[in-house]
Amino acid sequence: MRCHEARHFLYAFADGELDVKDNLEVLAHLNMCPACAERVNVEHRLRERLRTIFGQEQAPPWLADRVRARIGTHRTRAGSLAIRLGPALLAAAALALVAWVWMQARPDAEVLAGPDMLDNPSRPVRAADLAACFERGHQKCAAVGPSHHLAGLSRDLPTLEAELSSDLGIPVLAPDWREEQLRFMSACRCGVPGGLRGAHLVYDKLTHVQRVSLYSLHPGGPFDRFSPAVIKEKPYLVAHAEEMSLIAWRGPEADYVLCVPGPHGQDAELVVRLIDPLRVALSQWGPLGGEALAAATGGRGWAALRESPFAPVLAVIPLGNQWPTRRPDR
Amino acid sequence: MAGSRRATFEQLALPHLDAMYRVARRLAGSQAEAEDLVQEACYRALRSFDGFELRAYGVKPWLLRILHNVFYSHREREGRQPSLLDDVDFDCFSGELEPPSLETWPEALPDWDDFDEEIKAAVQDLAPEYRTVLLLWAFEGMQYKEIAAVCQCAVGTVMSRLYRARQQLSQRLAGYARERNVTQGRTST
Repeated sequence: MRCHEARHFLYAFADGELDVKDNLEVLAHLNMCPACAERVNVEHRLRERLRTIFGQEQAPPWLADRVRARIGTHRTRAGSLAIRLGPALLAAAALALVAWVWMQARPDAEVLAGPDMLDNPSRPVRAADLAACFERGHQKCAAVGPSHHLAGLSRDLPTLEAELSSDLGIPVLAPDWREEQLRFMSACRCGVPGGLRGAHLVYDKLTHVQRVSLYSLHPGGPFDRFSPAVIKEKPYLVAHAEEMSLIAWRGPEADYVLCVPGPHGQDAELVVRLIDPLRVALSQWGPLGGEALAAATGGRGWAALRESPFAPVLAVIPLGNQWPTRRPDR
Repeated sequence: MAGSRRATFEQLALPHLDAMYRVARRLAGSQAEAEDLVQEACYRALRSFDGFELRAYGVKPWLLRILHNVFYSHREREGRQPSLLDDVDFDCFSGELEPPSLETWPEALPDWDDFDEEIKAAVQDLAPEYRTVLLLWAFEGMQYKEIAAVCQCAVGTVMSRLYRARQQLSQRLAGYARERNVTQGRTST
């Protein structure tokens, strides 16, 4: 075998992919030809170098937990649904899933996050309904991953904020929460049925298996559908869903909903820290802002909040020297 | 029952999380996207776990195949379908299979120690189809048949993609070496 013949086989030889006969013939040539032997060595070294550079890369330590959470959620929900619902309802659920997948597959699809409950004017909307609505929206959008990010939208947060605000005609919030170990993941123009439109930003929480969502919504949605008596009294709402807590508040031109992992204010400190950069919006609530925070943090009570390291956050709210006397609403 | 199925799946799949992440990280544009690809691949793998048969190569090629499919379906959904390359069948181009001439390879290059960044950049610049086979071949030490199972293509296609990936990599690295004046001619018989 000569060089020009041997070189047809050199890659396969270097990769150990030749049959015995061809292997022996190439080997015989390499014993006589230092140049071709060197060529094989170069291939070995290249492969070894590639393995050294990239092959030692390990999955981040939290990824296994996230995978377990992802497949665990799948199992638990499917299992409990199968038990609770009959085959007919499962078929309906499958149809709904197909419809949702179809929505996802549409180019520039707007993800419809909410349940039917918001479309039925005769049914009173409870805080738990609203929480469930936003939890579902959050879970769906977070599960889509980076594909949730609408094509054409910037990934630079200040630019994104300007783009979405201009598109939607409301002041959209797109805070940078990297200091809170939350990495911006995606943004989409999501809403809920019933004409509610807005923007949905999803953040990746590095240290936990769940994610954080921030909705900026056109006014006239969840708050106006919520009990009018309550909303007149308080421009905010705190509710707890199965796996999340949410705090929603009304700004001058838009409604905002922050969904955080952990039921019943489990991640109270995170809630306070996340709200901190949004304190301009909070300060517009007056004393009720403090009350909302207390409720969002799991009803720990004013004393606990006042003595917590997050007291300075509350200080920006114009409470004067008086803490509200009303008990936080759970 | 479902718990035991999931436990079995975790036992088989989680040891390959690093491998899945490595491949995902090189395919995806960011760490976040890579993590999502892995999570979605595991989720889909569990869903189809009942139909999985433990074959000669084990569970890794199966998981990587699902990961590969998830990557392409994400790209398709985002309207960023990777360009389908000229997938020449092995038989059509076997005449080109010679490695690049050694004359183009400088003496100091084979140690590669000073070229990590260049190698990373060159790998990242490869088309996704070429990058995939190179990743599986180099990082995961897979045989052509295993790579073919992951990419769901013929072994000849794997060879052609790997050949082109190596060629492009070699050309890029030789270029870097020339820029650094690390050159020396070689001869062959």
